[in-house]
Amino acid sequence: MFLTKVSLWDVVKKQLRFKVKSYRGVFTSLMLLQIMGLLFSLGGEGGGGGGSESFSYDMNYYSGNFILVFMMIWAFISAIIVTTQAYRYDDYSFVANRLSSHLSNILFLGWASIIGGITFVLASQSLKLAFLFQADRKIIESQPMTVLQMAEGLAATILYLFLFTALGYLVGMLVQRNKVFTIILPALLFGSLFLNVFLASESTYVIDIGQIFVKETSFLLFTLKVLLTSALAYGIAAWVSNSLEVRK
Amino acid sequence: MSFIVLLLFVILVFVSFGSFSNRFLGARFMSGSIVTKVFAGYLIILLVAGILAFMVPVEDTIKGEYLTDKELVENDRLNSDIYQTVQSGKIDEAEGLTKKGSWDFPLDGKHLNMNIMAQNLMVFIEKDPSVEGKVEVTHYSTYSYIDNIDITKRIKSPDIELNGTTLKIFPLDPVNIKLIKYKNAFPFTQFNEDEEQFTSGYGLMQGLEFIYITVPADTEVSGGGYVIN
Repeated sequence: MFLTKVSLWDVVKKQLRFKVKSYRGVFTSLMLLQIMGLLFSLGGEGGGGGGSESFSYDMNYYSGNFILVFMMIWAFISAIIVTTQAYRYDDYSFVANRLSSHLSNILFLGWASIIGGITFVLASQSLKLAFLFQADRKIIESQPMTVLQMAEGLAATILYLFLFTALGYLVGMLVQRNKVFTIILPALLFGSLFLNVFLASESTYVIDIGQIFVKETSFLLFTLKVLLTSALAYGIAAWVSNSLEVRK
Repeated sequence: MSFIVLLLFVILVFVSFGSFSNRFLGARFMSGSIVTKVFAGYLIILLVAGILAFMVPVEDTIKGEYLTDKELVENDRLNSDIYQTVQSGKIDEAEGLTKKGSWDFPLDGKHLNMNIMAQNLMVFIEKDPSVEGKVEVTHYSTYSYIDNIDITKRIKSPDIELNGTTLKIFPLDPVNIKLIKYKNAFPFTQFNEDEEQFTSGYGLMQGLEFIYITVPADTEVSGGGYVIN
């Protein structure tokens, strides 16, 4: 019998507040990876050229995709780190259970994804700014964007990052469950890539799975796919963690 | 450009000092007020750069003014028809021509010697009874593209001058266009139907550049050019 009854949501809120304040390093690593992505992006994604006697042109393609890839890596690794022992032990500072711990982690990673998405938009605009000051360029062609496209793009970026946190969280929990997964998971990932190359297939399973999200042109369906996949990944992660011993 | 790289480098160095503090390798990620300040500073820099990227007006910046496949097909049709039309002396009926420049020179006598130094120009000469005592020169071109961006107006007119009875057409100044194509990251284009229009590689399509000269009907032309009538 207790004097005060604490609701699950109250505990989750307390844990979330604690995590937002104490896991600041997540955002520092985000900053570092974004800067790395920006520097990589300055090299461009490709180009071409041509011409005749009186006319020539050369064209270079740039985009924020490199930055986004770095951000996805960041989201994935950050989620794995959150599942590590040291971070899980933080939750024992509260009168809490595993469910509240998972919920606060998911909310924190969601929050991190939002910050990641917003900073990504700004970072990719900064990249564009770098080209505006290039002295020898003649034309910059940039894709026009409506407010709706901007909003959809931002939301999609956040959802992609959230998806990667979910995958990272699942991988992290699997590894916490059994260290053998540190060998199995990379082996599966790289094995499928190599196997497809050896079998001379045109695509790989990993890329094929990615197409489910990347090729989706309906924003609503994309959102549903990401949220369902994330829910599944977080759900499995929570289920896996139930078999972990307390303080193990 | 160099300024931005320098700025990024400074930020990187600044952050690196913060990152490799004793807390970085600790049990958790970084923490502490310095880290918060660095991140806040980074956010401010990003915000300013992001706003500037929207605001800075830059000459020659094209904001995705690319042509659709339908427009390209129509322009290609006009480009292919134009030579026949002009050659048959029906320049007034020609569609899809861009007039880039025109010159009028007084002509003494009944002889015009053409000195065409330009390689990539076609010269047509029409003897027109309505023209008297002068040479009318007009520079036309058909559509030119890089990818699907119209660059017709970027190819300038050659220098043209009349010395006595010799009309000199100098070579076109070589044009070099450095194009930077900035593509939005894929989540911003994934739900956009125009995406293919932007990313498709159409290559270079150089239009015809030609000089159309009108001279009095009784003028004798020598030295080059295609005399229509």
